[in-house]
Amino acid sequence: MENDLFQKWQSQLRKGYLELCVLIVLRQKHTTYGFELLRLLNEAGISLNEGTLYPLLNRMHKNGWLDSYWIHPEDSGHPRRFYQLSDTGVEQLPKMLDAFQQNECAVSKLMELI
Amino acid sequence: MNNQQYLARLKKLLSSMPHQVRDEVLREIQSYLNDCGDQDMALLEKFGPPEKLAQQYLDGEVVHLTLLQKLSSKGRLGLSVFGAIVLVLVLIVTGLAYYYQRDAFNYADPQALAGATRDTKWLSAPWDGVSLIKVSQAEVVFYWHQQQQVRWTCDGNWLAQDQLIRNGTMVFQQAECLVYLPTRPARINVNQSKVTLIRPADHVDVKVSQSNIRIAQRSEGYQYNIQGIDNVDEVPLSTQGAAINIDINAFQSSLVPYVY
Repeated sequence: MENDLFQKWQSQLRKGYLELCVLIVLRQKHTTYGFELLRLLNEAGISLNEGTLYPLLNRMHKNGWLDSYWIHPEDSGHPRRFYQLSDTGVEQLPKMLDAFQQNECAVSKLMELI
Repeated sequence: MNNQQYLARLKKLLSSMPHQVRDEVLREIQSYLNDCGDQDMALLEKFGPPEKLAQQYLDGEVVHLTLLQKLSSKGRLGLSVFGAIVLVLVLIVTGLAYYYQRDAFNYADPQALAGATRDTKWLSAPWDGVSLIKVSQAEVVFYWHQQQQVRWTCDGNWLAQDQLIRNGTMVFQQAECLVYLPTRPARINVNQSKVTLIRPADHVDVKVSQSNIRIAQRSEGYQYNIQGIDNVDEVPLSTQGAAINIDINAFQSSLVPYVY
């Protein structure tokens, strides 16, 4: 029971956090696709699987934070869906970062009080 | 579950999504498989159960549901409410249809008839000049009285006596009429009409085509001679010893007892 509640809490906490991480990666990389994005996030130490990332990308695209387009390589490669920050995403990212950092600071201050 | 089965299952689970979005989701997962370079890699292992994945995709999605799906999603309560509404509508429509098809009053009740026709204009003519009554595309109720004249009143196509009776034939056409006949034998031809005979007091010979005949019986009963009607279950059967004959020759018509 406690484990379930913790997982639920963690899931709620991660949702916004993972969206922020995706936006950050796309700001750095400009454009990339799901498989590569997953690799970069995992390498950064973020534990994330396919079943979470792909629906997340779909939702962020629907929210208007991401643009997506398909690239069909002329060689034998297969088509890939690429993502990049939309204008809204570019606008939202600094606000999200500020909010995230403020929360981090608040937690730090609370920890100092204790 | 192999990958094709997985994708097929996911497609079905995402059927409420706009199809363009759903197809893009499936293409992207197929693209992921190609990126892995291992087509045999199990999607189930990487993406989890398709039900759970679909739930993630549908989270926050504007779901396009059919009416039936909307009702189903609200469970039995929704279906029950829907069923109750349909039932009430059916009852209302049936009630209205019954109300409007019902007679204005009970034709078989002399008092009801007298009250309803108190201010009605009646016409009459000598019966001796009438050998046949024709009813065409009309609704006529026939009564029998002790007088020697034929007496009638009509709504609709109102005709004066000289127009209604010609060459011994009395014609009721495209009208709603009440008619009193003398207690004498009568021949009536009915075509595409609705005719009601209220307790005939003498022999009646009726030829009916594509019409509806209703009969209110006398307590003494009648001797019926019916031809051309297959189902006579509801028709009053001949009464032994009855003095009055009713002959009916029908074509594509119905014959029922008069019930108000």
